[in-house]
Amino acid sequence: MSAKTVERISAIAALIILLAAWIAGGVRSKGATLERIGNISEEIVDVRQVGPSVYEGHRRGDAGDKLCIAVAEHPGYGGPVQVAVVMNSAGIIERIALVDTTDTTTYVSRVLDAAVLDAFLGTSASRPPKVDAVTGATLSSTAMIKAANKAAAHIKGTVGESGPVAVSPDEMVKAGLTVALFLAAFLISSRFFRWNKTYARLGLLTAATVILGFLYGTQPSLASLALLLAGFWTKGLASYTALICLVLAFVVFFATKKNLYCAMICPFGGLQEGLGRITKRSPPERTAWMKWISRGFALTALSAALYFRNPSDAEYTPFGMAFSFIGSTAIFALTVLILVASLVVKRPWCALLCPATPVFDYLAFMRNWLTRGRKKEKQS
Amino acid sequence: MFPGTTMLNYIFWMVMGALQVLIVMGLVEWLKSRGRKPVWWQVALLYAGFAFLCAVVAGGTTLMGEFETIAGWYFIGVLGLPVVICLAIAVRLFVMKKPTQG
Amino acid sequence: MTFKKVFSLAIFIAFVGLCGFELTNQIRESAERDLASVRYVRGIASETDAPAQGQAPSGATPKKNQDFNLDDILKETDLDG
Repeated sequence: MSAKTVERISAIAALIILLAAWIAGGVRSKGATLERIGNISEEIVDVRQVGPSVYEGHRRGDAGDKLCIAVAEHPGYGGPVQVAVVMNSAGIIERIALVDTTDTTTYVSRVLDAAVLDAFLGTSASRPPKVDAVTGATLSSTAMIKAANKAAAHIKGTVGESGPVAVSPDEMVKAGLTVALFLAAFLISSRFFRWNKTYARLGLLTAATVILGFLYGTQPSLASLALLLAGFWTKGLASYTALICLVLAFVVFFATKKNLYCAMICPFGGLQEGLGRITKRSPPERTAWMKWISRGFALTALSAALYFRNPSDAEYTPFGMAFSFIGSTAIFALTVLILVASLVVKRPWCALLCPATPVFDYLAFMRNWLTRGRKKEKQS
Repeated sequence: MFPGTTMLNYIFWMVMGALQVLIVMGLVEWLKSRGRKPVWWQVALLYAGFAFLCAVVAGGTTLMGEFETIAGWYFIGVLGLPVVICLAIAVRLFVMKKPTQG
Repeated sequence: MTFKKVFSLAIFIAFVGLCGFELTNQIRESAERDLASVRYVRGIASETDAPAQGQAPSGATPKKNQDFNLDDILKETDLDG
């Protein structure tokens, strides 16, 4: 079996695995909501749905003590945040629960520890409490607060038309800058560019590292790809920048047949390259089995994210840690190791384990395979 | 640091300081043997960088000794990284060059 | 075996170890969350609540009141006394 055949079989197998994970995830999440509502407390029994987002139950042992449960969601960073509110017959919120979220665990813990949801306890739906968002986790906390308010309003019956979520001007600026960066990359790589390409590339890379990395901290990652594939963006996102960046990277890749993102825009790559320029080293030696292991990692992470319908499950990259200090201790150790290794070999993460390489390799392989087939058809 | 003793603390730190000076002077002698003669302010910078690295490791391990192991690792990681980068820049500028005449 | 080969292999193994640890942690947490069904519950009378079965331990344990008797402590640690 030639290497080419192995690659082709793996490519098809990867697609099948992703599809299977997606379908299995769908099976898993059907009917989960009702079970979760019932799980909010053992005291609530006989839960049944009475409206689109409203459920009714009663307290254990007292069939007359009706309790109303409403579930509402609001777009957070990685997808919708679902909050459930339990209200008694006097209209007081007795219990509040975070039912589901796909935002990164660190952010969610930060918001929960700040007792954002606790502020709703004991209030009535007619007077929603004033809760401040948590600094450093604005998107997640705002989503939770709005979802809680929505849930309370559901019970009161005063939910207005949930129109499209307004995009803030800040997001428009970020999107505009991202598009500008990609246009610059496209321009530099084209044959119309007459000035020194090396310096131009380095200049663009520096600009992208500062803007996308340090300033905004919105670098696309495998989680963004999972978000794109899982279709969470259709329900509305709070921040589209990373997604726009990813889509543009793919568009430019298909248009120019070159991976301009990794070479000219990726902020983490910029960091590594900057450090590597201090010591002027060469790239690490990458063997074939290393290549397959990195592909396996990317596939496993993506499948897990699709199965659990949680894009942040796919996150094993250090991008968030390097610029926003988000992530576990293992990721911190990984980031420090990568940055120190960047002084010894050139772009160690990019060359060895970054999931961008398998993803772009896959796209290039599929494109070559499909267009070659079409070329053969034309010739014959 | 050494509970129950009186002099050992002071002796320990004197020995540490002497070792640091010996290491840096050894580095200077090795550079001279390779034909590259470092200027006095370059030696001073190298020593400062090395001393800062030792301080970072000392701080991190102190935290670990206070049963704050994760904090110790984060201390070393966050502060040690700029030190290593600066030392790399210094090595690149002062050491990895062709030996000059005179 | 050149230095570069050995170094590349060493850091690759380190990367795989750290990323693998992180991935398995996340997948395990997601699976646990699946079983727990609800992520975080808070109620008004939270001490008397029995949380739902299978709830994740990172959920609704209220903070304990830390009893702090200053006099007792001073009696033990007062150097002058």
